[in-house]
Amino acid sequence: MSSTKSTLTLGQRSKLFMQKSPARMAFLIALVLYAITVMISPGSLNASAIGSIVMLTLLLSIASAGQTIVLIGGGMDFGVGAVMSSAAILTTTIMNSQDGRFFPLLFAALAMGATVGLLNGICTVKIGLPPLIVTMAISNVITRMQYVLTQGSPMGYASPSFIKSVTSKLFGLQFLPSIILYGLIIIPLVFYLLNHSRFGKQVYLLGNNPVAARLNGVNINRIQILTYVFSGMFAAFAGMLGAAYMNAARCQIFDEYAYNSLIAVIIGGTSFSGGVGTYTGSIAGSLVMVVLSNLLTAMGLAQPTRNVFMGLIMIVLLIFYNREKKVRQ
Amino acid sequence: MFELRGVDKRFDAVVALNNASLSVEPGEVHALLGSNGSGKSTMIKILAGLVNPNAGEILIDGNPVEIRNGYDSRKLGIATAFQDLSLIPTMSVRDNILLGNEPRNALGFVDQKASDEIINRLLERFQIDCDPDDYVQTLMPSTQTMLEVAKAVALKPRLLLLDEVTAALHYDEIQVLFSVMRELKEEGIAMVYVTHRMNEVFEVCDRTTIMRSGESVITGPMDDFSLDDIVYYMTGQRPDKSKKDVVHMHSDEGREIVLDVKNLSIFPKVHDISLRAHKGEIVGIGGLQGQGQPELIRAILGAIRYEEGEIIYDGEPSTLKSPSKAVKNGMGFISGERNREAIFPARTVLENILAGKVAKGKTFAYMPAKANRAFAQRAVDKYNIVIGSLNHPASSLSGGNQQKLVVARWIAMQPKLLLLDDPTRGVDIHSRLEIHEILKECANEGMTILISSSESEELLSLCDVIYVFYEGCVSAQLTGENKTPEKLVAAMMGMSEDQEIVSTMEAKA
Amino acid sequence: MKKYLVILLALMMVLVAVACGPKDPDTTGTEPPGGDVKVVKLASHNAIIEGNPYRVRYEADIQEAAAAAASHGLDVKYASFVSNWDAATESQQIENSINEGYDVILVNPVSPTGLDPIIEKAQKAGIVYINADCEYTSTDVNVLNVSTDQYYLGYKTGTYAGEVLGAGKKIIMIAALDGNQANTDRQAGFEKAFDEKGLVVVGGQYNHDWDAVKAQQIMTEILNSGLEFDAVLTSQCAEAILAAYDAAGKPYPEFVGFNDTGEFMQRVLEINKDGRKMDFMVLSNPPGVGASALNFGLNMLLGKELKDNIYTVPEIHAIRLPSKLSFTYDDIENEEFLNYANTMKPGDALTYWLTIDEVAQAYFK
Repeated sequence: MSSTKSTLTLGQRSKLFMQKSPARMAFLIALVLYAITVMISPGSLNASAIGSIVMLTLLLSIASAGQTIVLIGGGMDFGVGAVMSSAAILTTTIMNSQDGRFFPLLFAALAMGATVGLLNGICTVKIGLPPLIVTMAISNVITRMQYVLTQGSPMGYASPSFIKSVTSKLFGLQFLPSIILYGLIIIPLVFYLLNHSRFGKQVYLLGNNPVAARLNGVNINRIQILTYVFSGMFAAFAGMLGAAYMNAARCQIFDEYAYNSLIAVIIGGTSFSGGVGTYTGSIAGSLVMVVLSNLLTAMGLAQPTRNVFMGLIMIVLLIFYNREKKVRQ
Repeated sequence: MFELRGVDKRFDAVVALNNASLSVEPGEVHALLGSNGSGKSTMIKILAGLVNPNAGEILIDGNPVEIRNGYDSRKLGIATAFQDLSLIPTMSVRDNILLGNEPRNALGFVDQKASDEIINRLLERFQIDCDPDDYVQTLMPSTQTMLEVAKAVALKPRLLLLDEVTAALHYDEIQVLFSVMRELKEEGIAMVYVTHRMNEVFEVCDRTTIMRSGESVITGPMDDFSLDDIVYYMTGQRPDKSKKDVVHMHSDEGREIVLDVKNLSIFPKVHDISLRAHKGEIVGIGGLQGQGQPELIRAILGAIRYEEGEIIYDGEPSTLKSPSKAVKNGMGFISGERNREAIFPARTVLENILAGKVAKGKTFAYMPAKANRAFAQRAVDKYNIVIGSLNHPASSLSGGNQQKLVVARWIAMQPKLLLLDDPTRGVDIHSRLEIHEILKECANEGMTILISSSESEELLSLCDVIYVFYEGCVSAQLTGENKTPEKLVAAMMGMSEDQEIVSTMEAKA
Repeated sequence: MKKYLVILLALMMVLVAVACGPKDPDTTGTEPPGGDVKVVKLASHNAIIEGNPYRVRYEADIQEAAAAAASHGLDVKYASFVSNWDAATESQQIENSINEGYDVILVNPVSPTGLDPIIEKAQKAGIVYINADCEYTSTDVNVLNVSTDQYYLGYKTGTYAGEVLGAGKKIIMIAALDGNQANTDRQAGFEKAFDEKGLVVVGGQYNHDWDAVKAQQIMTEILNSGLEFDAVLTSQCAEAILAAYDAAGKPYPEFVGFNDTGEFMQRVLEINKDGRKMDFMVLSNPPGVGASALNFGLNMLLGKELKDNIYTVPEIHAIRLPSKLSFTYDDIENEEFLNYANTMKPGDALTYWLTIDEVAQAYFK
């Protein structure tokens, strides 16, 4: 360790750093975790391992895109997982191993996601129920519909070309899974929405102070509903990609992504109380989740121990940042 | 006998009380009078133990005592009924009144029978029509106020403080209250009565202490004062009756009418309000707090609904249903409730200035970062907002600069009609003057400004015309040489001579 | 506001319509083939059906078996009760079934104890009461348990893997849900076989919790860690293991098993279509165990008695049925296997049930 001439202790400085840029902090944590993984199991430093980390990170990042927008706008979407699962089932059912059905599928999946998002939004905004309850209840309904429509066993596979477009390697390089191409569409789109469009700026204002936003002329109901609609659509798209990654789909297959996306977004520094957060942070948070899981597998821990570890690490991370700075009165 | 002597109280730099005194005899109703911010409430709060004075002493029967908190106050036999009620809405009437004061039986349990008796006697005495088990939140506001008083009386105090309790009461309820007060007087209980309603003061009070700018100006028997005297002591100037109040619409006749409010009523605060704003005019709304000013402004903005009347904006009947539509139609709104209604504390200075621009326009349109920055920087430069960096959070600024930020946000949008609700509340004098300059400049360039303020001086120095609200109606419209502090205060008190003005106005409308 | 409410209502109605649409199961009881027809009222109690594909199939198989009983002159009227994992609801529902005079009560119990008084009441009323699938382990009542032999699933897979791989080969083991009874039994079987066949388990202890996404993630992470091994043994979810190999672009291991889904069969066929690339084990953990249990009950109703010393675990009167249906690479041209592989939906599990006669022959005097 080098000199500590500064008056701040290392702990204070790292805390300051975390609060200032949670995204950078999360990337740093991911890097450290990966280094530990490589130390424990040197075999894990290989191109295809990196490729699979990229793959899972992008999948989670795309699923978290909508969650990020909703959370910044002061809401919460617990329906991400159910929408993903439903979109995955739509994918295998509509494609049924046949090529050339991508665009009808895209339309159907996005329409489904948007509809669920609209319902979530209307119920939270117009009826005024807490978002946690609304999104959980509605995701229960669409989960039931998965079973009703498929009788519990969905048919078919994603089409071969669609699977290839997600899992093949670009230029034959193991660390470049082709899902990156989808990422190159989605990630700039989210950045545009959040950082460069009027919509994104309204979302931040809404999340930070809804009363002021309303009196300032922001149509807060419309914006809040739109955040849920986007969340539904991004989740649906993630579900399509997930189906290609898994080849086939089951009911409730991606339900865990409801929690995972929320945790990834929070690790990325987005505030539970709204108004603060970045999509860069959510991508970094996704990376932390994936690398951490890799590390625990490399350590060969049994599932119960893994769960305890995962929980502990999450709590530590959440304690470190996401603490509100005192607002000057 | 209760006495406050030479009391000082400062809130940071603001002097709330300066060598103020008050003495109340047993068996008298003592009126504590003064305009907004004169220090009445602070006096009450000191006696109630909510505020500790910086200097001065409190004496009871000649003995100095210390009141550090509400408990001390109660122990010394002081009970308070507050304007903003101290009742707990989610508890029953019974529990609210007996809270912490329940009669106990020999075993130390709550004596149900005794408490029923106390409650019923009390409800009867105040003619309150409710069940002891009703939840307070289900009662009418006026009933709640009566309960608030009943609760204070139930404590059997030696000194009862009544802080603007009649503001929410109906006429017959006020009469009940007065008869109870007279009974209490017979019992030798001392009362301090704070109100803005002068007729009540003459009806029920024995003596008065009048305050101005934190000082107690004069104390004496009620009979020694006329209405004019009271206004004089409150403002330091005598209302001039020689000049007749004339409605003077200076050179507005030819000018375009931007806003025309006709007979507006908004339940429960606004009853019948008409006002008019011409292009390039600064229209002020004065009045004591709670006379319907914020409601009117929010109704114009579309943030709340109104029951009756008409708002004509820009030549057409306004059907605005939300602030977002109002903003699209060229309105802007600046609130003095900075933390709650205006500032986005976690967002940057840049985003805060940009908030007006963000609210107006196509939802998914591109907002180029460079142009945004230039826009914000221009506003910061032009209005001398002291910031660290455009990227710092708005919470890093001082209160005055935060308010300038909000003003700049809207001025930069060049709205056709700018609505301001007490925009300089809690803002330091320097920033306030700067904001005034900005507003005047904008009006000269043709912006129409409607400003409500609790500060008389602000209205007098800034506005072309002042509408004074009293109990949800316009009690006076002051222009030109009628814009004097005395007339403003008199109208704020709802004094009757203004009746003429109201009628002239109605004739015109 | 109104506009939104209208949209909301319309959507709700569509949802409800879809959700309530094609749900009613056909009532069972085909035309009896003449002669004496005995009506049997059957109550099937389950902890959960909807949301669990295995249990959906379980109930469907019971309905099929009920219909098939017509050949023995039995008109079985099927009724289903679901307790949603609530023990109190379960007792209430069983109590109702007793009072309403059902002839056979088939219970897939919420918990392994706590129903003693109700079981005694049913038996006193002369009702045939059978526990199916999940075992009821209280030793104070004499009630028949009919379940699938989970130990056998692990043992059979492990033994076969040992035979095709040979002693000394390295394998990884991905178990299902830690602490689950079926998982514990299977692992005991796996480990016994590994010991006998000299297979070496490498890496750590892995679990997929019967979650395909988790299975694929774990397998991906194992591949990432650079661990070397020859085969993957897993407690189902094997198609997710293969998907992980595909996504990582790695060559398949020598052996993967076991699993029972259509997807797994379709995948192994495709992998091996140009000659032997990877051996596998398809092994049924039949949801039809409930239907088999029903046929135990129907035999009892027909007046037959169980053979002596027939219990796998006598203390709890449990009969554990070893899986009858399995396929390996040797069956790659087996018509039955190809038929299953080509007709099943990816998520469907291989199932079968023992007929009344098969049960009678194997387990009754």
